Amino acid sequence: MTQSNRSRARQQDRLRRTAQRAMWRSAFATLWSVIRRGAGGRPGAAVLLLVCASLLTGARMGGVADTGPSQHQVVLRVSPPSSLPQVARWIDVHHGTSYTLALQAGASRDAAGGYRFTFTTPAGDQLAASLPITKLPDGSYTQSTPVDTTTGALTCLKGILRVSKNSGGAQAIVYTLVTRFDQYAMVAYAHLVYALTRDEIGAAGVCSGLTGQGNEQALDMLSGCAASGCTSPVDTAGPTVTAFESSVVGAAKQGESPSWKQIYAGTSRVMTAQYGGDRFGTLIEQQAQKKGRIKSITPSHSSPQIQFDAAGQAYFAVTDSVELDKGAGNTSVVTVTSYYLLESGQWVFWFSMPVGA
Amino acid sequence: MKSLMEPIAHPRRFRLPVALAGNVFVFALILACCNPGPITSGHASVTICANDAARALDFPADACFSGTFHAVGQAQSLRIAAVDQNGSPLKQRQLNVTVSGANARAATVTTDGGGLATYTYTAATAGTDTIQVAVANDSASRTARPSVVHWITPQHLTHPIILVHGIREDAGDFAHQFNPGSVTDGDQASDAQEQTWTSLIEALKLVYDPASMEAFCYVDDPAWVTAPTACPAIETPTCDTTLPVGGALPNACASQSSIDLNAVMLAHVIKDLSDRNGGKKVTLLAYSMGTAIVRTLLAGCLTSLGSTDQQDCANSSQLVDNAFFLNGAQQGSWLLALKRGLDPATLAGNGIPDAVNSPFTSVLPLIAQGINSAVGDTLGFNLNNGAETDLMPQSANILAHNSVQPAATVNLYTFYGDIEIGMDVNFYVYTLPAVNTLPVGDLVMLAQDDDPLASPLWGGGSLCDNCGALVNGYHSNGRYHAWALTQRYIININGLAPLLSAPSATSALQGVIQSPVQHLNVSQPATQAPGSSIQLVDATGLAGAPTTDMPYEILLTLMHGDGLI
Repeated sequence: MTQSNRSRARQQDRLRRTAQRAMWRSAFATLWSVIRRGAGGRPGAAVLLLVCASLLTGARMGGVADTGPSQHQVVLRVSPPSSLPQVARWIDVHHGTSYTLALQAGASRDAAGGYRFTFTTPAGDQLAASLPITKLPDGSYTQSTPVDTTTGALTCLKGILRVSKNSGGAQAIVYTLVTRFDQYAMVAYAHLVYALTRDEIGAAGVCSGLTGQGNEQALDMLSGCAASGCTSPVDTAGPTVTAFESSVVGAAKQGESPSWKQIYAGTSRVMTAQYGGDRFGTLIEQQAQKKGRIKSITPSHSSPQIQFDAAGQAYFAVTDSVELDKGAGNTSVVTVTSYYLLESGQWVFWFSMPVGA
Repeated sequence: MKSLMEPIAHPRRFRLPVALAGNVFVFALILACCNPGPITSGHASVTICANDAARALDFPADACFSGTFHAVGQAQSLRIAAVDQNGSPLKQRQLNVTVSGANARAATVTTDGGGLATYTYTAATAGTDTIQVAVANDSASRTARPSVVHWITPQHLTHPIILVHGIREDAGDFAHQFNPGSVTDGDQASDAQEQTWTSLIEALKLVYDPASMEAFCYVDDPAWVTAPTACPAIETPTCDTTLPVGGALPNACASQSSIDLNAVMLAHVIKDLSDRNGGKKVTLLAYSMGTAIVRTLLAGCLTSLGSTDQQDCANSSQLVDNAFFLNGAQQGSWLLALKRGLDPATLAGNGIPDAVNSPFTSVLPLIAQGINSAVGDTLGFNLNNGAETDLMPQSANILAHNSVQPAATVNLYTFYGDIEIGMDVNFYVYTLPAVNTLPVGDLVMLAQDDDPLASPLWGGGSLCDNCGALVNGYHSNGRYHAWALTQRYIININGLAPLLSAPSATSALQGVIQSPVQHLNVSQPATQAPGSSIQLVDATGLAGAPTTDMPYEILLTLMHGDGLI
């Protein structure tokens, strides 16, 4: 796992811990308030009731974050996709690489039975070729250049690298590729090593597996998998939403631009590449002034299914009731559908859409 | 509390209210019908269009646009429609017509029973008129978009001109417009949208002799079947004229043959036309794939295999004075790069935010599929054809012709679509405004790369060597001139949600696809007509205004070059 991925994972852990803390704080505050009123201010009875109630509440919550005293709790369970995408698409925003694989029946395979793939370098250059796919014992798949049965090393292949900029055109390369992706084609790992054919030393290095002598390029694409295995995004989907929404409510409660930085880190490139963290917070606060401050978010659909869009990206949608505090005791509830996107192997908030739009 | 039914239950008590109501009704009727005071038409609106007489010969029901070119001394009719705030026709209403410009005047017309009126006038002075109309005593009803008429002094000068159309088009549609008397467009009834560049052709015909204008036939042009007389006599077809036009069979006449074959044929047509017109130089007007053919010719047909082909192209290039590239394809189409299997999420090019780290990474595949579904499928790309092979960015043809400068004696004028998409994002109930824009050219060709020697991975349609930054959408350097037809659209990302499940679904992309500068729309009569929404900088300084329409700019450029103005 790269430094960036570790950082992102830590960020998500923080979101979960924040959500849990918020859940407990709000639960106990509510109960304390109720108990004080119900027990007529007698501390002994209040403590007894609090312990009983907290035990009951703890059993019911089952580790799912609560975002506010008045909020109905929903355990969000996200189910896996029902089928493979026609084109699987994985990106690694940290390395600036991407890997796509055509999987539609019939049309994806070349005459030799290989499946078409592309690997895009950080410069935007693309290798497009075909290789067979093999199922591994753990249910995941691999698409790799052939392994030499004698040495166990990867065999190099000739390929064409389409150069993005200027007049480079197509450049002949030799390459080795090793990839792994999960049973649903949601997360993947790819490692490409290549050298221009005219770089004889580099090309020899790629083909012998002894790199470092020429101008070989070694590129990683990490999108939820490493060489050794993958993390199931199905398991992390529900908790990510719960934690994210809890944090949104928490940040809204604080009502300051900086409090949105943590939220910003959990959004997709649609937002992080358009707005800096500070700008994001400022924009949200400006909107809160106009439209009302988010008081609670309650998912009303408890078991969304992960889907692939027509372009092969994994996403799921959650219907939320968003309660807005408009000041002076006025509140309103708006129902929106929020989309979450699997980006670089992590679920991130993508965008919302008003229900009925 | 008294019942509301009480008056009905007691008829005598009912008499007074009925009498009062009756009086009020009659009084109101008198006021409504007979009061001669000022009439408030509320939000009445008036629209005006200029009748295009040449197009009306073929498509009378589809021949009234925002403006037209017309000969000085001949009557021009303008059709006017007036409606009230409910969209109902304003009958028998007086309208004030105001003409400003070269032939300023004022007039009144009265609508008929359908709210329609016609205003006809004849100009004595060449130049541009802008015509506006309003309901009398209601200036707020004035036409939102005025009509524009370019009055041209008719001439009959010889300047050979060849129009080189785009992929899957029919030269018969253009030859017929050049010379309707001698060329019959055999399939015009089936599709009014086939006859494009109407205003430009009419403008040219007002000044130049149509006898020296030709529409180039591709070696597999549908015209070989639909209108054989449309093709220049020196040309010969290589397609099977017995097969259905545009069919999927390899030999069908479909305008999908290779660029190299057509460039060599074009060289012969240029030589022939110049010879027949006293050795005069030829101007080329090329659209879409036509520009790739012209670019190949002007590079010397480097990938042609015939023994004399390259020499023929080099020789004919010397006979060309101007080449107008209209939404060109000389660097190839990104839609074909997609068809080759490249990953659209990593689309790269001038002004496009960096591939994987772009804010558009997650929506680019959706946008690409949506555009491909709406525009690419209409173009009918088939990777097995010579045209598509050559129009693939970085194809052998493109790499070859972009390896050398175009022939040095040719003036190059490039017009290219520059659609830019911004994206608002909804965060629960909040809307965050678009910050970045995604330039997607004319949706078929990207708005890059000015460098004549560039062959970008995703192709492009611009061309202007060392021209510097655009100023108001225009830049130039010596013989190079280029206009970016920029249109910006802001969509909300949630408007793309329908594309998640179906690339052909109606989505927020619809407005972008309907842009007038979209590749397939830019050549349409309504888009090209004077007064349309496509306005560009007048580089000639002769239009009488800082901006003008595309056909007028082309006409003025030619006339200026010929010393006519």
